Amino acid sequence: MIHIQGVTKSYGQGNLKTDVLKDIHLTVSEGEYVAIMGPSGSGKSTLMNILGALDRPTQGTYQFQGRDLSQMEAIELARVRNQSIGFIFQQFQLLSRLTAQKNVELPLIYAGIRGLKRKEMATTALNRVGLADRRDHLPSELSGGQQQRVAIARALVNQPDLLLADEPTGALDQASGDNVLDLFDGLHQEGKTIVMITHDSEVAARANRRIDILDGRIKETSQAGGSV
Amino acid sequence: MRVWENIRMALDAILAHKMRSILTMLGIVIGVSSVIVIVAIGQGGEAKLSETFTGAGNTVTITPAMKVYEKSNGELPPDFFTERDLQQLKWIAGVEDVITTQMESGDLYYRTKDFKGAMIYGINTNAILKADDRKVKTGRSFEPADYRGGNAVALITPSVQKKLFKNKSGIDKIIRVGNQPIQVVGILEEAEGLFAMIGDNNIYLPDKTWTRIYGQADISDIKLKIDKQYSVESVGKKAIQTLNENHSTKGEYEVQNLEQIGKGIRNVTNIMTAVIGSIAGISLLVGGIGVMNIMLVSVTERTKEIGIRLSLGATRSNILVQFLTESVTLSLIGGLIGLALGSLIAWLIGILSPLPTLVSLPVAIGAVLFSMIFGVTFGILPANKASRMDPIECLRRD
Ligand SMILES: Nc1ncnc2c1ncn2[C@@H]1O[C@H](COP(=O)(O)OP(=O)(O)O)[C@@H](O)[C@H]1O
Ligand SMILES: [Mg+2]
Repeated sequence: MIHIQGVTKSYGQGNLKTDVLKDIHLTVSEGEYVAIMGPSGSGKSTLMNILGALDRPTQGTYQFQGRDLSQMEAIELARVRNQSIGFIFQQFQLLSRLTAQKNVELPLIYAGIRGLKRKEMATTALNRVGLADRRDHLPSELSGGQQQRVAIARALVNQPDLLLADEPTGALDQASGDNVLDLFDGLHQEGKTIVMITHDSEVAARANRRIDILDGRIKETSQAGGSV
Repeated sequence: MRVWENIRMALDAILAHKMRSILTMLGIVIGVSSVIVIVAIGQGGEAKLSETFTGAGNTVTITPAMKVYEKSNGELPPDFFTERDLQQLKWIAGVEDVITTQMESGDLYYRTKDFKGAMIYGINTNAILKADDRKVKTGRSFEPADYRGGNAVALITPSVQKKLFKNKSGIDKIIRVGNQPIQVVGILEEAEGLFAMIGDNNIYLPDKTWTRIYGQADISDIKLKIDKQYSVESVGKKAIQTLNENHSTKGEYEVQNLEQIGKGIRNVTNIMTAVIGSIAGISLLVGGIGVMNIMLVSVTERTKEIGIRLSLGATRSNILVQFLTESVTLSLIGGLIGLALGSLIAWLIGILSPLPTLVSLPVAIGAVLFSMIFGVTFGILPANKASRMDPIECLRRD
């Protein structure tokens, strides 16, 4: 599903030029549950943004589902993000003015799904994360754990093939974090491909494959349970 | 994405900052409402002015030019107005109705009293009276049966009534017109406007009655009832042109008072345009800059929202359209409030002061369209800025 070859990402020019990612090679197959681990500033989020078609590599190629994203037009990338990828962020990134339901409907708006169908799909996704009864609440009226579950519902609502989670439990207490990870387990069992960033090895242990990144390089890939 | 979707998002965003949105709209509200008020006063004045010449029925009269009479010793040449002319005049855009009257001057008698040199009109509809601003003061107007049967009835003007009946009303009295007995059924009000100036010695008969007395006559003038949406001046000009072409003549047909109508209207219009130009220009420019400013603030404030939307699959044009819709909606609401406020003020001026006011549909539509164009013009810069943001930078914001 993901095939990255020789990817480099640099910021700045000349003397100020810094390579945040250095010659990354990475392959993730369909149905895998991968944890990317590394200390703060090691380049995890940068890698994730490239995986999520939000950013382009400075060098190297990125093939997603057999298509070379580094060659794609911006409008096609938007479509990939909308249809094939679901993002989950550490800070939830919900729109504070909108109710849970409306937040979950956002990707459907850009997918051109309207009316009753949109409402139904959003409700189904909220059901999946156990928050159907909170659909009319604003994010400020929900706990952190609930907000993150709304964000997961939003990531799932267009039935993407790949879930990208950047420290999804980073802002949560233990119980809420476990709750989120339980959801991921379920999604993994349903066949979703998940790439999750964390700097907590206990969290990483929930995945079935672990990749360590340090100073912009992939250090090692260790198996933590058999990959599918 | 549908337009409606964008409008809903825009309304959400506008309502989220009510106070700010209201203050932003203020410039547009003031701009649009002042334009509406000034145009209303201008058009009211214009309507009043042209009414002086065209009557409440908004009609103009087409007559032969002086030189026609000079050429033919004071007689109207035969076929000066033909049936074909009447047909073609009817087809001119803006002509609602073509009204013809027959007229002879003659003497009226009541017992021992007489009135020499009255204008005796044969009319085929009460619309003619309305066109000339003639209202019945006492008695009654003509009824359909009077026209159908050619009844021997007449309406007279106050000056005729005074001469024949002194201080008696004269209603139901029988007078003689061309040796036929005719019953007076109504007295008209004193004339205003044009008729007051040219004398008011008129008597009106149903056309069939008239024909019985004087025989079938040539048409001596034609009145055109003109649609209020059209300019009296240009429809009048078109009519003259049509007639002169029909008869291969030059300048033999005239619209009464066309020159005064045109000049008066242009005077009012010119002053009006200058005043509107400056007030509208300044207040709308201020309003527009206000919209642009607030939209720029809004874009900066909502950087994170833009990042989130982009990450969920919004395209750059989705974002552009979203913010553009917002500024258009904002200006449009401002424009509509301005329209309502302006109309209210114009209406109040109309009833509280001697200034006549008129808010016309084209002006209202113009104001609405204008505020939308305004929203686009001043929204394009902020919207463009929003659509060019880097999603990663946006998401990093707190
Ligand atoms: N736009 C940018 N310009 C310059 N440096 C950047 C930019 N984005 C990220 N970096 C740098 O890249 C490094 C990796 O950042 P990031 O991928 O966010 O790390 P992580 O998510 O592992 O904490 C950091 O040192 C950060 O300062
Ligand atoms: Mg990070």
